Amino acid sequence: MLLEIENLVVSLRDTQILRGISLQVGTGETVGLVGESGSGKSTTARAALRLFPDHAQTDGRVSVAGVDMLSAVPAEVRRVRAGEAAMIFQAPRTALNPVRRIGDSATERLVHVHGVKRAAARTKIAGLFEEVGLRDPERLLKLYPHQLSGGMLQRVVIAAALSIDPSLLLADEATSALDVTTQAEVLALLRRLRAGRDLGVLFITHDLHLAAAYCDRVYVMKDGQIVDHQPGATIFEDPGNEYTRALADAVPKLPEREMEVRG
Amino acid sequence: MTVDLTTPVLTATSIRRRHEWPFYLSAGVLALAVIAAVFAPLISPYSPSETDFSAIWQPAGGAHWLGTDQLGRDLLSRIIYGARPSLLGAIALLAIATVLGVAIGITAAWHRGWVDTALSRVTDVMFAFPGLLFVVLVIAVFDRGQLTSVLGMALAYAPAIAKFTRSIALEEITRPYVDAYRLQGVGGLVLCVRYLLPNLLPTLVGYLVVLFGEGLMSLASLNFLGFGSQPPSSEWGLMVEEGRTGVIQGIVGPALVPGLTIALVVVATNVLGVRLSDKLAVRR
Amino acid sequence: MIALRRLGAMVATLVISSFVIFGGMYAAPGDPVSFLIGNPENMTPERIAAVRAEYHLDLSFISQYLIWAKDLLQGDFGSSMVYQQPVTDLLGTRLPVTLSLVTYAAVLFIVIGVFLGVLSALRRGTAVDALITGVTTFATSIPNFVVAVVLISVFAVKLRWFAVSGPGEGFFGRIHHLTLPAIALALGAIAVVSRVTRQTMVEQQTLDHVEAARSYGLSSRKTVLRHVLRNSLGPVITMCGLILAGMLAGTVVVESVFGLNGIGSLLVEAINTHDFPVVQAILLYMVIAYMVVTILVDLIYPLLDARVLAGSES
Repeated sequence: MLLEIENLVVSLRDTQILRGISLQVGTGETVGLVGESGSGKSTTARAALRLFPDHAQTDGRVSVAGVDMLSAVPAEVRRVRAGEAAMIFQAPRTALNPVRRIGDSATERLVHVHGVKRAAARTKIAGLFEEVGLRDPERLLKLYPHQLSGGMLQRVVIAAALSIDPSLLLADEATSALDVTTQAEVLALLRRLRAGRDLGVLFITHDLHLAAAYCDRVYVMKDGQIVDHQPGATIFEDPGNEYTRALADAVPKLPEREMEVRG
Repeated sequence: MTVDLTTPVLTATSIRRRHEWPFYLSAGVLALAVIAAVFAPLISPYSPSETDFSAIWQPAGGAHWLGTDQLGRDLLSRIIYGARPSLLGAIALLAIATVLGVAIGITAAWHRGWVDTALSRVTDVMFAFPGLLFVVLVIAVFDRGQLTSVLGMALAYAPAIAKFTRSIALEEITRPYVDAYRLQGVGGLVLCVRYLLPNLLPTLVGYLVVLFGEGLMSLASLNFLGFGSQPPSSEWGLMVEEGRTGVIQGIVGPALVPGLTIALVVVATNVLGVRLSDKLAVRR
Repeated sequence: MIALRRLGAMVATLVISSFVIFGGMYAAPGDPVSFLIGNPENMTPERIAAVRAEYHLDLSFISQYLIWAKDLLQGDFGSSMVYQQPVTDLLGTRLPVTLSLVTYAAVLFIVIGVFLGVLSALRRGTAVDALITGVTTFATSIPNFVVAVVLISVFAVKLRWFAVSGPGEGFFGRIHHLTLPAIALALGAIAVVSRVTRQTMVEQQTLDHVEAARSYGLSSRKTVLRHVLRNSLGPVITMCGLILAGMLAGTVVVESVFGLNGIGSLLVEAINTHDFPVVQAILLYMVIAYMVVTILVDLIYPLLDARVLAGSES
């Protein structure tokens, strides 16, 4: 198991954000985590990297590639963050440092965490840029984030995440801020990469239909708890409970024909 | 000298537990200052100009609670009497600057268009003059004295107040009640004065209280240089200047006592100003 | 281009300021000649005639202004009524002292101010933060002439570590003599810079790219340096620039207290002796100095944050 969360409880002051979450992600899988805002899905994803709010109290087990993140020493935690798992945030524009050039930000993992020489890092990143579908990588390296579109920035972020050859990708609403066309492109890209590199992907979204269409398995979260867990293909035909049904119904129903396309 | 006069008062938003004692202490300090200014003849132990050459440069204690200066005058009495010109000067300065600044700010915000641009350009020009310069020019031309120094400083502070007022007025004007009155046919001037201005006051007051402290310091500096109040006034800045002669010989009282008085009053107004802004902001 | 507009605004401000400075002569009560000459004893017919000729007082207001402005551009700032010397000579001898003082104070407030700001931001909420914030708030409430007097009484008179007055001879003598004045000048600025730095850094720390950096294992030290501090440079340096610009005009009090023969004390002298040409020249110098510094800051800012150039890019 790439990512194994067992009974994770996270509380901040008097509120419980997560009340005993258990989920798993294996190599080669795309696992969806669906919930409304405030359900705790982002907190769950960040738990895999041991990124908790200040002063939060935690309990349970979070294992990434065999390392228990909650009890590991800081050096181990950094090793996992730097080499095993990578997170892709919702808004690529804010996830990149706006005053530094793209090349500088994209190679930061390699140069400043792994000690790779700058020239070598740039070559590797340029190669990755091409792999994610960005044309003219050399020119892009010299630009600033505000000069690129959201879609291009998200590709930059994905390329940077791949530069350390992670085994686990955590995509936190990675496509929610993009327009529909770009969203489809990035999703296709992620699927291609996952297959080609044997990654495990935890795909967080508020869109149940998207998760059902895209992911192998889907967990549904509400108020800090997992309330449903189904294969993506069957989650609409047989929603495990009321809440999932409500989520499914909240979106205007797609005609039967379109549901079959995603087979 | 003061640097950026348009910074809205910084609020202490991250402090969880509120300690109220600074507020009460500051209010107390300011109350003392006001009492001293108003009731000086009644509470002062000596006359401020009463010299006693047998008791020059006395340390604190005994007959003179804060000591005496180089002419044997009681420092405590001079401080008490000095509250009047010190505070009055700052109040006058603030009053004039506020009337000018608020008028310009609201006019610019209300009319927008070329009126706004013109007024903004003018205030920007005045802004390009580091504050002191304006005063210096006024004093150089019209000669020194409390009146010219206060007027000059008021002209220096007015642009900052105008800028601040303009920005909060612009925001306030977008509120629905303004349009409501406008549609009812209420004239611009009446609207601004009777309805708009009172709603701007809470934000303005916090800002102005802090500006009062800065104005007090600036005026004291001018008086220290001899450009404002003249002897035998015991305005605090002037007292520091007069106390300088003793400093070289090791007698620091006559210079430091008025200096620390200024500092205390300014700290008190700053604390009060910040707390006021907090309380008034919360109410909105 | 934005730069041209800014430059145009600056030039306009300069022209208007010079107009106001020039016009001061006429705003004074009485006629310009007696105002310029000042001392009634010197008002001999020859003197009056000389002044009238020198200042072209028989011409129209606008003509006088234009001649004055033309002279300025050629470096002629007129002559001092009191010293009977070209004003530029006077400024020339006094300027180095003021510039040394301001430079010294600038080094102090930038280094110490930013350091304290960074420290209180990184130790936010702790006793260190509270201490720094408290001290800096108090420091902004003490007028600089009081600070100056306190410094003199403690360090010069009581402890005898420093001289009481005078600018000092030679490089090290100069530094020694200017230390107390520089501290007096810089204290308020240190407080402001520290507060702004802290505020900016705290704001920057909440941004996503900081969390992103931590998420891929970047060490705390590097995260703070490369993401928080680096991003705070823009606003902080702008503030330092503004303070510096104002400081060039604000040395008056400190120079008076410490007996330094710089531009500030020359100004005080000129006001006391009614030497208006000198006052005019100094005011102009202050306006120009202020503008030069603000222009420099405007030029540096895009180097720190490329987003401001966004208007001219795709």
